[in-house]
Amino acid sequence: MLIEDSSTQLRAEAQFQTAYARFLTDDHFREWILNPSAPDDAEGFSRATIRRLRTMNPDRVELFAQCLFGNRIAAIEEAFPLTVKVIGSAVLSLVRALDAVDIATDTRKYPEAIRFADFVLNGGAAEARDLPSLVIGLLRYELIFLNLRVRPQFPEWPDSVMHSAEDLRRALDAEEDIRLVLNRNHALVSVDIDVELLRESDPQKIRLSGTKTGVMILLHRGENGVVHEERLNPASAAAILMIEEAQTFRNLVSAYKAWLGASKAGFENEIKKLCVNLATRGALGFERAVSVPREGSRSVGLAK
Amino acid sequence: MTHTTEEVTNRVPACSRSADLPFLGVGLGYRGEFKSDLLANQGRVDFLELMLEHFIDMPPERARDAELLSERFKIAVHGLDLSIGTIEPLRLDYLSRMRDLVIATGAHWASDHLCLTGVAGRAIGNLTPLPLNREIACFIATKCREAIRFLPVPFLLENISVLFRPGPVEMTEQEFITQVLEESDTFLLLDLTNVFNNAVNEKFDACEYLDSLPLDRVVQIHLAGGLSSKGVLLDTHNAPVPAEVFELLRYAAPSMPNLRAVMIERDQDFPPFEDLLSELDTTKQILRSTWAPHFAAELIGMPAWLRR
Repeated sequence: MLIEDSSTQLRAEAQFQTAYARFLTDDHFREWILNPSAPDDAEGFSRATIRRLRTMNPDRVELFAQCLFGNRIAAIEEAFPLTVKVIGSAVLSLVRALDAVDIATDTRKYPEAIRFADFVLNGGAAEARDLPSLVIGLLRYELIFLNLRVRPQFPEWPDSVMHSAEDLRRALDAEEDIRLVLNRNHALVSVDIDVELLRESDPQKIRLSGTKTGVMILLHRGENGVVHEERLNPASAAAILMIEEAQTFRNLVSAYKAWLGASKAGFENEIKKLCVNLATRGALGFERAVSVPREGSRSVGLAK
Repeated sequence: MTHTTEEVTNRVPACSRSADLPFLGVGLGYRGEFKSDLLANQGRVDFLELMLEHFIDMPPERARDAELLSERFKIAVHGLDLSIGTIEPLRLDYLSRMRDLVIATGAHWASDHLCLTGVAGRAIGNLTPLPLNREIACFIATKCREAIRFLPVPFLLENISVLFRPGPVEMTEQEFITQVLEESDTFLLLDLTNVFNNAVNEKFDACEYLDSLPLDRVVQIHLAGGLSSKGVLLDTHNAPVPAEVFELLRYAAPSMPNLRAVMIERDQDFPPFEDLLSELDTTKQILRSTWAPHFAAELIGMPAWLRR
C-alpha cells in the first residue's frame, strides 16, 4: 500500500506519528506541547495532533522518556566506560546538547555511541569544547578500541604475509632481511591518563590532577575478536611508528639508529625482541624479500 | 486452573498452517554473556532466539557464533526495529537482514513487535505503543502480508508493554491484535510478562484479556521479569520471571494448540546460569502438566521432558 494512495485518516495518522515520535524523544518539544498556555496548532502540526498528544498520561510519557534517555546513557557508558567514569554526570548534558542539534536515526548501540563520540570529538557544542584534553584523548582511545572490536578491517593481512612469531625469529636470527607488516587491526594511541588504574578506580575518587602525560598504548585485535592492549615505553612506541615508513627490518634498524642519534650497543637485538614480541601478540607479520633495497628506496621485491 | 479437553477444544478454533511448525520447546533468548555456560548445558536448553540487532553489522566472530549456535540448537530469529506500525513503507532493508540471519541459521520462524520504533528517520529507541484504530490495523496487516511474502519462514508479531496509549481509542488492544493477525494470517508471539505488566499498570484482569485474544495463533511465548518504578512495572528483562507470569502460562497454555516454543528473556543483571536453567525447568513442568495433556500427542519429535 502506498502512503500517497492512503485515506485521509491514514495520512492524518502518519502526521500524528511524526509528532508522537518527536514528543517522546525531544524534551523541549514535549515541554512546549504540555504547556497549557502554548497554542494548540504550531510547528506544522494540526490542532487535532497536538490535542491527541496532550491527552496522553504525562507522568507515564515522562517515565517512558526517562527510560529512553537512561538507555542511551547506558549504551554510551557501555561503549566508553572510562570516559563516562571520568566525566560523570557531564555525560547527561553532552547527550542533551547532542539532542539539541541532531536526532538519533538508529536505535542500535554502536551507531548511537559513534554519533556521540563524533559530536564530542568534533566539539559539536560548548559542553564538548570545554572538556579537558585528557578527556578528549581518553574518548579517542576508547573509540579506537570500540572500532577495532566492532568494525575491524578484513583481511587483516595481505595473503603473502606470514604471521608466525617463531618463523620471524628464525628469519631474523638468520639475518634475512624481511619486510615487516603491521596487522591492519592495530593502533598506537597516546592517552594522558593511566587507563589500567582508571579501570580499577572508584569513580568517586578519580582525581585528574595526578595524571600522566602521553602514555603510549598499542591496541590490537586478536583472532578471537578480543582487543588486546599493551603499554609501551617511548622507545618501543617510536620503533613501531617507524615500521610503516621503514618497511624492512634493516631500514627499521637504520631509522631507529638515526633517531637515537648515537650508537647504542645491543639496540638491534632490542628491536628484534620487540618485533618477535609483536608477532607473538598477532600485531606484526612479515614477508620474505628476494632482494631488498637499502635505506632510501621504497621498492621491495617480494618472494612469490 | 485446569480444563477438560472438551472445554479447551471448544475454546480453540483450528489454525491448520502452524501445525506444520516444529516444536522448538523451552529455550532462552541468546546473550553473549552466558555463551560458555549455555554451551556447557546445551542439553537443558531446547532452542535459542537470536536477536537480529546482535548480529547486524557485527564482526565475523558474531557470524561464527550464529553458525556455532545453529549447529547445536534449534533457532528462532527476533527483531526489535522493523517498526511495522509506522505509517511508512515496509523496511525492506531491515527485513533483508532478518532474512539473511534466518537463512544463515536455519531459523524456524522470525518475529518482531506490534509497535513503532521510529518515524520519518527519527529513532525512538524503544518499543512504542500504537493508536488503536481499524485503519492502522488494516495498514499493518498489509505490511505483514508483504513481510510474510518476503521471508522464507513464518512471521510472528509480539504484543508489547504499554505505559500509555495515544487516543482516540476505537477498539481494545485485543481487537486490534486480532484484526492485524487475522487480516494478515500472521502468528502471535505472546509476551505474557507484557500482558501481566499492562494488567497491573492499567488495572485490568489479565486472564480476561487472554481469553479475548486469538490464542490459537500463539506459536511462541516470552517470559521475563522486570523493574518497578514509581509503582509502574517496566519491561526491563533484568529479574526472574514473577510467579504471577508463570500462573498466566499455566492458565493460558491449554488454550494454545499451536504453541511451539516458550522462552525466557534475560538481558541484564545476569544471575548464575543455574537460575536461568531453573526457570526453564519450571516452564517445562508447567507445559508438561497443563499443555501436553491436550496437544503434545500430535507433535513430531517431542522432547524427552514432555513425555510422561
